[in-house]
Amino acid sequence: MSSIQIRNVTKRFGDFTAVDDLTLEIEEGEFAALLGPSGCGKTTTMNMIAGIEDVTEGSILFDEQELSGTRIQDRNIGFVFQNYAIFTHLSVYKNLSYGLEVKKVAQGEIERRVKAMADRMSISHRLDQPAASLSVNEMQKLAIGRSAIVEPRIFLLDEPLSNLDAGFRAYMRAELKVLQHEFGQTMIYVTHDQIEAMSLADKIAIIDEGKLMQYGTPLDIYNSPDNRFVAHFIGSPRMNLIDGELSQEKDQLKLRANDGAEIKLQGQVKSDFASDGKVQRGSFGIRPQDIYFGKQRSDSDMKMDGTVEVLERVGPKRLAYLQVSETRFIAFDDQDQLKVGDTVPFYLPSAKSMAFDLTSGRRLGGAAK
Amino acid sequence: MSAIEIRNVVKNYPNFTLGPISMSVEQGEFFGIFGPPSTGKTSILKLILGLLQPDEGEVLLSGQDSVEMGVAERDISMVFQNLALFPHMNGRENIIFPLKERGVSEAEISKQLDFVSGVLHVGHILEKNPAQMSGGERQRIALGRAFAATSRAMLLDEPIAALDARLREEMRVELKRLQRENNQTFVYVSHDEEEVMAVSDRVAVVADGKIAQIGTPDDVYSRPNSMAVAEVIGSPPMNFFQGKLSSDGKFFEGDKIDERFPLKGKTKAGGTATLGVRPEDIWLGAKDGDFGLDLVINSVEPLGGYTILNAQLDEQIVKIRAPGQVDVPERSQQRVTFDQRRIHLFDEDGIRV
Amino acid sequence: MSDKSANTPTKDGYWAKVAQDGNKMGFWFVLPTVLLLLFIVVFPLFMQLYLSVTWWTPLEGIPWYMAWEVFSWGENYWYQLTDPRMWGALWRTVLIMIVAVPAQFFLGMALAYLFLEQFPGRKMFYSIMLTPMMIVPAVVGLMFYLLFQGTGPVNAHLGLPSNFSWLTDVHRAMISVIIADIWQWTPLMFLILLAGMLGVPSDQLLAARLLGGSNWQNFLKIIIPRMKTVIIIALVLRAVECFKIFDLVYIMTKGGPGVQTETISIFLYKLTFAELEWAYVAAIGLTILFVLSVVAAKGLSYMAKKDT
Repeated sequence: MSSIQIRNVTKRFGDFTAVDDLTLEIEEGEFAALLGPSGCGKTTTMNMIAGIEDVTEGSILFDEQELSGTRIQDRNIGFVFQNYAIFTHLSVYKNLSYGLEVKKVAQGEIERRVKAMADRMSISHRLDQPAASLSVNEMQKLAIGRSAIVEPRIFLLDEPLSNLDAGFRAYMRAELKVLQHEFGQTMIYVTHDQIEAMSLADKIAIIDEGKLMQYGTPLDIYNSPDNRFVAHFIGSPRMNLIDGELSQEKDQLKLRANDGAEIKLQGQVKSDFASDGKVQRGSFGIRPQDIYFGKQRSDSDMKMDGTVEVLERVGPKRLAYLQVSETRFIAFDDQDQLKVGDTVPFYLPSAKSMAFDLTSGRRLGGAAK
Repeated sequence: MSAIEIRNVVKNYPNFTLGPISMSVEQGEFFGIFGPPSTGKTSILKLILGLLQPDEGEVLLSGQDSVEMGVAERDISMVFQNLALFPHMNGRENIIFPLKERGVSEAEISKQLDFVSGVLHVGHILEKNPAQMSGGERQRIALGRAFAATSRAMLLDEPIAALDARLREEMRVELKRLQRENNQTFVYVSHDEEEVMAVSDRVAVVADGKIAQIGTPDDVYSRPNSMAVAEVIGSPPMNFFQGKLSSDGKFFEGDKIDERFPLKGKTKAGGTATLGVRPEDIWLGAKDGDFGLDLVINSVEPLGGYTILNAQLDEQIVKIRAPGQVDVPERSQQRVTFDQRRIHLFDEDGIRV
Repeated sequence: MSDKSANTPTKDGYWAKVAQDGNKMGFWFVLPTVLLLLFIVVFPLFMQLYLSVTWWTPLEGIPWYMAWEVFSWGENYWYQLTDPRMWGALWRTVLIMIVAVPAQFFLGMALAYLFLEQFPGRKMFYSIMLTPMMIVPAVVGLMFYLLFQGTGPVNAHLGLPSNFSWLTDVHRAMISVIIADIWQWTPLMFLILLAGMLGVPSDQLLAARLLGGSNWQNFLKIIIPRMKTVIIIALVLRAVECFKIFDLVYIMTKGGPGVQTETISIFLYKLTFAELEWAYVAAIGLTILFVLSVVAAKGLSYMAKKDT
């Protein structure tokens, strides 16, 4: 397997910059996810690694070896398409053997390896059937097997689980993790689903509008987002982000939200906001699970009063949408006691709150939480 | 009297029979219908709307049998999965179309239009054509069209399935708010379990062409009455363990579990059974007095606010949901405890015991 | 559509019902064309069948529908089998077919492959490529007639003397006709095959390349198999048309020298207008129709079995 170096890569389509000065180093055997909203450039980046698109500026290297000029068929890459691109006119067996046949591997060897891979992917019972007759789930396994069988040095997967039903998706996530350990290949996984990225990847690269927002392990990114975009994108349910103007009145530093609510800042988050005097417009971040009800736990926790607008059941928990003026806070109703229409006090713990500069998106203060 | 009632309805298809199904939707209720794709959920909507006639049974609207009513007379709006916006009309024309068709006065039309565009924030796109709108904007126009004609009920067939995750979450809240503020009756079909559970007042779970259970999301989640319901509600899905009940009905003996699992209270004696436990009801660590197991953890999925652990029990993968961020090394063996109050037992037919 | 309680009350009357039923409407729309076909195709076919079992020629002096007076049973059909001129014509037609059609096919396939990917000037070349096919066959015939003259451009460019004849040489006449046919009809093959090739999903081709397949390997294993139906259509279509080749040959060589390029169509033409053996021609015509139908049916049945 290979390591991948992406150095200052830019890709332009006419006037449109799809990827903007992207630099990323992926280690051998690492499972890296390219995560971002649709249209952010993650698929374009992957296409450049595969050679399907060429690089406008910058370079991509495998094991420190320059790749431009190498044809797609010589790059030895495994690629799983979003819609699988199975050879529908061939049998399952022939699909699996294709990569080996074009390399002129001996028939006996091919048979052995195809049978082993079919076993591994649990599709042995379908080997002689036309690939077009497989269910969506089986097709996905076939797509993975077909690429894996040639033992490529890196594996690229383009949103491979997006066409599957929810139950099977959860199962395949676990399978993919196991497979990656077994095959030991360097994997790059493109997705817009942050739960997928968090659960599968060793490292996540968050991309927005062609730029790299942050690159780190899932928990690093979750606990210490570098900027507002990352904080908002990672985490389910999403982090509450209250955007507004900072105003200083004597000792009080307040954040007045654009849609009405006013937070009197205290504790760590107050000093974070105050740390850069030039910042006038800020964004206050607090995760739903950190908001609590009932008794105040610490003096530096900020008290707010809100009306319960909507209650949603999410799995075992209930989400409460709290309205403060026109601003909405999302919190977990842990005690299952709230009712729609109630006006309740709730607390924002300063130790768990995050401060962002609204203009640049940059995280302020940033003492690791 | 319910707004919509379906009584013992059967609809026959070449490979598949829908029904007999019975359900009722009360006025002002947000009623969800959930099931895997192609199980007849859309057909139920079409039966209510009148696009399909039942082969057996009745569909009653406000207590009246609807068999004689044409689609237009039923006064029900529908939002289709593919939206079905008129491509040659702009946003405004699409929304007021049903009103014009019914011959509503100009004054009334303009009042409705203002109301709808205010509520759905579509004022700025009324002049655009569907082709120029984004997915979310089209969605809202389609909703506006269904809303503008105040009707007895609104049927929604996977209306937000095509949107990306963020927009979907926003629209869910909007829909719920709209429904409540207007005291509308909504019937909402989706194959996304999370979505249906989040928005509905009551849910009907459809499996194999029949309604497996009707209840509040809480009922269906915490007290599924059959395995068919238990395995589709909840993400990650419930863990199931095969086994049998002891002859005195006090223990569950799992095929792959060495220890016997003590059951609270007595259940029927003997017979094969399946034990169901949700991932969040399995705890890491031992708890005195509670039933525990040693499992090897295959992989850990840190999702920030909680963590999913995949553990191996023979060939079965057991999913465990732990709150917060846990520090468990992969491949290690851990003791886990089952929450005895939250287990589900199903007999050999898959019915709750 | 046939619900018990349709929403709009149906007015009684046949035509209102027709407006609602797709099948009935289809019948009435198709009827005029069917009648036309019956008149133009089916009736003459029966006429031909009738004539083919008689000895009738216009010289007999009786109108054609009285041809039963010169009944001959299967004599015409029998005579076919022993007519050396017929066999000669048949052989020559088949020869042209088995040389021209494969040549067009491979050329068309190669060109289609070239046109698969975008390249500068593609649109322009595409239009140019199609022009030969759009020229009236008679005009093409005239064109090649002029080109292949002893004193014409072909000889001039090849540096051959002006008595090196193409069209009147015993062997080379055939060659010239075949070349003309290939020139005219390769574009059709190209068109059909390109359409078939474009129907091959591009992501599957991409997947094949990513798996390490070279262009040639992917062509053989992915593109060709998926084009089976289109290939059969193209070959059957062209083969049947080629069998009937007439305009080109008639203008270039009139079937000559002697009968060296006399194809079946030319033969039948001469038989009809020169020798006025109409009943015999009817018989041969029907035989050919029968044979070609069998061939086409075989080809199409093979196509029906194939699926992607």
